[in-house]
This record gives sequence, C-alpha cells and structure tokens, in this order.
Amino acid sequence: MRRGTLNLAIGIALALLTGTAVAEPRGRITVAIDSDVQSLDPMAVSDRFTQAVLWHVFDSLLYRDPQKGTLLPGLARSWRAVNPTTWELKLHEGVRFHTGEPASAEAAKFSLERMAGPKVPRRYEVGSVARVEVVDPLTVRVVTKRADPILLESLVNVQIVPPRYLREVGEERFGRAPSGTGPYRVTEWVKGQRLILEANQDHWRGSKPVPAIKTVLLRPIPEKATQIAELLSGGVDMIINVPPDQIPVITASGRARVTTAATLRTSFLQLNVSRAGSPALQNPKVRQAINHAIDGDAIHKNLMGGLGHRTGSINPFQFGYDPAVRPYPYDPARARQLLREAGYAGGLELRLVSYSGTMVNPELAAQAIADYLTKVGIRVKHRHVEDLALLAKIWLGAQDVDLMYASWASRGIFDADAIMRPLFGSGERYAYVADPQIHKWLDEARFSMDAAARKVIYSRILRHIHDQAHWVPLYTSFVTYGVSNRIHYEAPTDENLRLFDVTWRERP
Amino acid sequence: MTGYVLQRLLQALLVCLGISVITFVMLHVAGDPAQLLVPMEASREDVELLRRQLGLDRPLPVRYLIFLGGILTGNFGRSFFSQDPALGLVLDRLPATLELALAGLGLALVVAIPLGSLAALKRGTLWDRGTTALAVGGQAMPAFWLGLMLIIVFSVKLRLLPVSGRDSPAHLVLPAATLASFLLPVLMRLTRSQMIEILGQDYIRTARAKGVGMAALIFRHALRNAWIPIVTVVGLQFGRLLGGTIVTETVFAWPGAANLAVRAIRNLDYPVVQTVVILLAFSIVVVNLLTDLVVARLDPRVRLQ
Repeated sequence: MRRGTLNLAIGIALALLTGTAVAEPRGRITVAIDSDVQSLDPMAVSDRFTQAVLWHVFDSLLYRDPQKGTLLPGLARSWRAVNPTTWELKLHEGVRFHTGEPASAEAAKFSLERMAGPKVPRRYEVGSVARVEVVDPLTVRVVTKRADPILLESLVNVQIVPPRYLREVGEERFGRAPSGTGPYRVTEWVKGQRLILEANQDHWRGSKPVPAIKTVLLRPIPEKATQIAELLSGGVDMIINVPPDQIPVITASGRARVTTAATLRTSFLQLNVSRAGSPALQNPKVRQAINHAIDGDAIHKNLMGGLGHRTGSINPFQFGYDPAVRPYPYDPARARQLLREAGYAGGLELRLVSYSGTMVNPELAAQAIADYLTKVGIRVKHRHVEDLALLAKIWLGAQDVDLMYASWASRGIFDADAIMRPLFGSGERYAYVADPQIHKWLDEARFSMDAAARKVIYSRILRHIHDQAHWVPLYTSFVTYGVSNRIHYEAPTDENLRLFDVTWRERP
Repeated sequence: MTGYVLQRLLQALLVCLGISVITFVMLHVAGDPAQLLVPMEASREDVELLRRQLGLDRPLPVRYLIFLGGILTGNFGRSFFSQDPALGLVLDRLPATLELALAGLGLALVVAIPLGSLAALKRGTLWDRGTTALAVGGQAMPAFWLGLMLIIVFSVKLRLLPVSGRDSPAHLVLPAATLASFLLPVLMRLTRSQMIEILGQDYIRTARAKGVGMAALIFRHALRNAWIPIVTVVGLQFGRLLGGTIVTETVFAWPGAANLAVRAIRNLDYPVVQTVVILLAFSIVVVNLLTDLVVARLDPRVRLQ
C-alpha cells in the first residue's frame, strides 16, 4: 500500500514535470520547398537544404544554437579533449532510434566511419578523423590525424544513423524510410509530391525542443510566384527565401508575415589574381583601386535593405573575425589616382560574372559594382549566369573571368577556416588567390588547439588580405521566410530550417 | 499494314538513337556533373573520386556505348543526384504528365471545335470576330503568365480552385486550361477555316436541298470531314503539347516528368535527362504513327503502303 502511494506520488510528480511543461504536438502545417529532398540517407546527401530537412529526423553528436551559433549538446551530453588529437564524447543514456535501436557509442562510431566512405559527397566533414574508438556503450573517442580545432563544429553536420536497422534494410531502402533519433519521423515520401513528417512522441528531449506541430507536410513547388500564391491563399504556411520585392506583397496581405535573420553567408567580389585573370589584377594598386571604387555601404543599404552586416573581411559571427579590419572607404578619386600610379591612366577592361544562387538581388548588385568601377575608368563586361552547370564551368575553370560576384555559406561552420580555406587555401577549387604566406598561416591556424593563438593568426591573415586587397568583402546575407499568421517562427542564423521551433499562434 | 507499322517502329528506334547521341553530346558540353554533385567545400580529390565512381573519367564514346548497352538490357542507369533507378523515376512521373496532356488536349478540342464551327457558321458576325480575337489573344499570351494570372484570379482572389499540386480533380482544372492554351488557337482557327471550306461544298448544298436539318448537317456531314485535318494537326502538335507541360508543370508544381526533367537538367543528372528525352521522343514518334493510322481510318482515300 505504501509502495503504491509512493509510485502514485512519483507518477504525479513525473506528470507535473513532463506533462505540464510540454504540450502535446498538434495540428498540421504545410511548408513549400523549392525542390524535393535528395535522399533521406544523410550520407547520400550533398544538397544543403536536404541536410537541413534531415535535422528533423536525425540528431548529431552536437547541436548548434539557432540564434547564437554556439555549440550545444546533441546526442553527446559532454565532451573533452583528452589530448590535442583526441576528443572524448559522453552520450546521453536511453536514447533510441525510431525503430527502437539504442543510440550508442557503437552507432556513433558506425556513423562517423560510414561518413568517410568513398561514395559520401560530404566526406570532408570527417576528413581529419583517423579513427573512432568505443570506450564503453556511452563513450566514444574521436582521434584525428592532426589537431583539429573545428572538429566539433564539423560533427554538428554528421548525423548519427542506426547500424542494425541500416544493415537489415539495406542502403537503398534506408534512403527512403530512414530511422533516426530526431523530433520527427518520416511517415510518407512520395517523390516530387510530398514528404510527411510526424512528431516523434518518444523524443528524448535534448537541445531540440519537443515539436508543437504534430504533422509537417513538405511540398516541392519550384516556382516562387506559385509559392507566394499558396501562402496568400492559405495553401501553405511557410515559404523560404522570399524575393525582396515580394516582401511588401506578403506583409500587406494580412494573412502572412516575413521573418528575416542575418546568416553565415557572406557576399564579396572575388578577384582573379592567380588563375589567368587580367594581368592588371596582379598589381596590388589596381586591387586597392577596385576596393576604393565600390561603395559597399550604398549597395548594402539600397539593394540589401540594410539587412545582414556590412563587413571588411569575413562574417562577424565567425571565430577569427576582426572588427578592426574595416572595408576600404569609398573614395573614387583615390581609386583613379591608384590606377594612374599602376600605369592604367588610360583605364582597363575587366570581365565580371555574377550568378543566381542563394544570394539576394545578385544581378542588380553586380550591375551596381560594374557602374562604380566604370566611374573610375575600369570598363566592365558584365555577364550574369542563371545556369549552375555553366557557372561551375566558369568559376572552377577561372575561365574568361576577372571578377566574380559570389557568396559563401561556410557550411554552417562558425569558424574563419570554413571560408578562408576554400577561398584562399592551397589547391582549393574556388580559390583565385595563391599566396604562400596565407597558405602557411591558414595551416598554422587549422591545426592549432590554442584558441587565442588562432585568433591572432586569423587577424594577421585578414589584415594581410586587406592590405593586399585580395578581394572586396561586402556584406553578410540574410534569409527571409514568409510565414502564415497561424504559426510563429523566428528565422535562424545558419540557413537551416528548424520546424521543431515552430509554434502555433492560433489553435489549429 | 503490319509491315508498314513495323517499318515505322524501326524508324522510331533510329530516331531515338539519333536523339540519344545528340543529348549525350549536348549534356557533355554543358559541364561536369561531378562538380555540381559535391558541395562547394569538397576537395579536388573528392571530385575526382566521384567522377571515377560515376564512370565520368572514361572517354565519351566509351561512356555512350556503356549507356547504350544498358538501355538495350532495360537498364537506364541510376540518377546521379538521388541514386534511384532513372527509368523508375521517369515512369513514376509519366502518368501525371499524360493526365495533364490528355486533359489539356481534351479541353482544347472541346472548346475549339464548337467555337470554330460557330465562327464558320456565323461568319463575319460579332461571334466570328470574338472567337478570332480570342484565338489571336491566346496565341500571343505567354503560358507562364497565363498560368499565374489564372492562379491569382481563381485561387487567390476568388478562392474557387487550389493553387498547385495534384491531390484532387480540382487540381487539374487550371493546369489543363493553361496547357490547352498551347493548342486552342491553332485548333480553333483550323476548325473555322475547314468548316468554311466544307460548308461551301456541293454535297453540303445537296444535303441542304434534300432538307437535312442543321444539326445533322453539321455533325453528320461537315464535321466528319473536318476531323481529318484536325487529327493530323493534333498529332503534329503533340510535341508542342509536351513542350507546354514544362511551363505548366513548373507553374502549378505538377509532379510530372517535365518537372523532373527540368530539375535533372539543372543538376546535369545525365541518366535521368537521357531517360526522359528518349521516352518522350519515342512517344512523339508513336503518336505520329497512331495519327497516320487514325487518318487512314477516317479517310478512305489514304492507303498505307
């Protein structure tokens, strides 16, 4: 009898702790997506948006705060560096995949090893990992080839999959009907038509909140105008990346609103210094002249609506950002003088390429840049590319291009290495500058575990790039969501959709 | 007759072979899919690794022969992007495209023939001018714009029909109307001119003189003869209709093969693009063949050798 009472008391206490604090997920929302997800197997995916969708189904060892970008526990509840090349991570107890299999150290090891497979498009996330050791069922050690200060950041991008279920059903079926530990599970996927996610009632409640929305329907709608019509007619509850000129249409409708957030994406003008661009660009004075000629403040204010941040180097969200490295002041007279000193008093001609991607108003911004350069005597042949295949050809081949108006999202990693290395590193596909000094510093910073020392090195790199005028940093980007009045959602900073953060404003 | 059909089918295969060579070369010129399939952060080595995995490191003719050998054994390869078998992906989407194409064609015929006939019967009146204006307007209107206008009027303002998708018969109305606009003007003008010509023929005058009623005159005598060129034109315009599904499926998020093809082209997903192109080319050739057979049926003067 006394035991019964005790059990009852414990039961009530538990109900009070969990039941009242967390409301049951209810209702259903529809989210428009530009194109269907690629696969539901995290290791088969290269597409960034699909990765974000899979966050709902899977968990990683670590998680990132959607607003601040700091690291939070994921499946790992704690972590420590045993030595400069070994991280030890302790996992949460009792976490299970949707199929019931425990999310153990074994599963973590299996997933990290699978991620390194030759067919995995994002294998670079674990490129520094030498081996993974299971210490006990809830402890895993990740040993890196060299010290890797951003390993933990990369682990956020590696989702943990269930080894037993995967072996049982095979890779192909897993890609259609996956099992994860995340707050949502996949209940139906009709390719090209709909992906349905249901709130996982047994979710283990880590850093991701318990979803307020019971059912989420993701619908591929390729045309933006159609997405907006759906939002305004109540057919969908959320659209992603609203074109800036459509923001007033949505706001005025009274049915939906717009939420924006500055993201990790940074826009800049790349200068083809080392890969068969115009010889003029090898002269630092010409590069400085280009920096002085462009009024980045005006473009940021007028074409980007002042959203995001103006920057003189990388994204202020990233480790290694140095506010002391400022943009070159807009000074056309100084630009003209520098061009004269460089021997281009008669002007010169440069080829500028821009493209339609995740950026805001790319063609207009590139035109504005072309106009500014023309004003100081640089004739610009501007070409805007819609086709991604053609863009890859131009950009990667560095063919017929001196200036590239581009942006970089840093794959959600809040560290300078994620943008500096691809754009200025040695042998990188998108690097237009080959400066041995920068290569050396980048390696020093990449393999040091001393945060303070790394900060100093990145300041040095950013200052050097600024003085050499190796690029024209412009502003950071922002993401815009159109959201129906039925729901509440705040745009996160890393371009990743987080539907478990959506809450109801009206009763569904 | 059987010999004729077999000969035409053989021709169809040759056409498909030629088309497959052209698409293969064009896709190759368009760029390197391996560069698009890896995220921007991937290293050169990763790209090389993927290129080898996909067999893209081999010379173009070798790749073509492997691809051709695959097709002959019914294997169209796997999508570079989603890893699914390409044939399955396309076949899954084909019913939606056929549904849309048939609905568009049906709607175009149902509207064009009565209006075209009406215009011919009431030649020179307001009716005639009205339908001609409609035809000219329809031809001049870009389908993309028309589709969005239909959405704004019928879905956003009047809230009568769903905006996009394929969940219910109501979802078919606006896309079918948009697609019909590709054929409607041509068919309407054709019906009108055919009917005008036929109504001036001797046998119509004879029938009239015999006291045949207006309805019987039109349906039994005039339209029966007008059908022949209409069927021919519909057959010839089938390719145009399929072309129209590209715009229509995009605007209305219609989950058909054209929608799939657009995305596959963007991703340089060779196996999927190849499969769509070959299947569509084949179906156009088959439809043209069927048209010839139907015309032979309708017109006793035509004999197939």
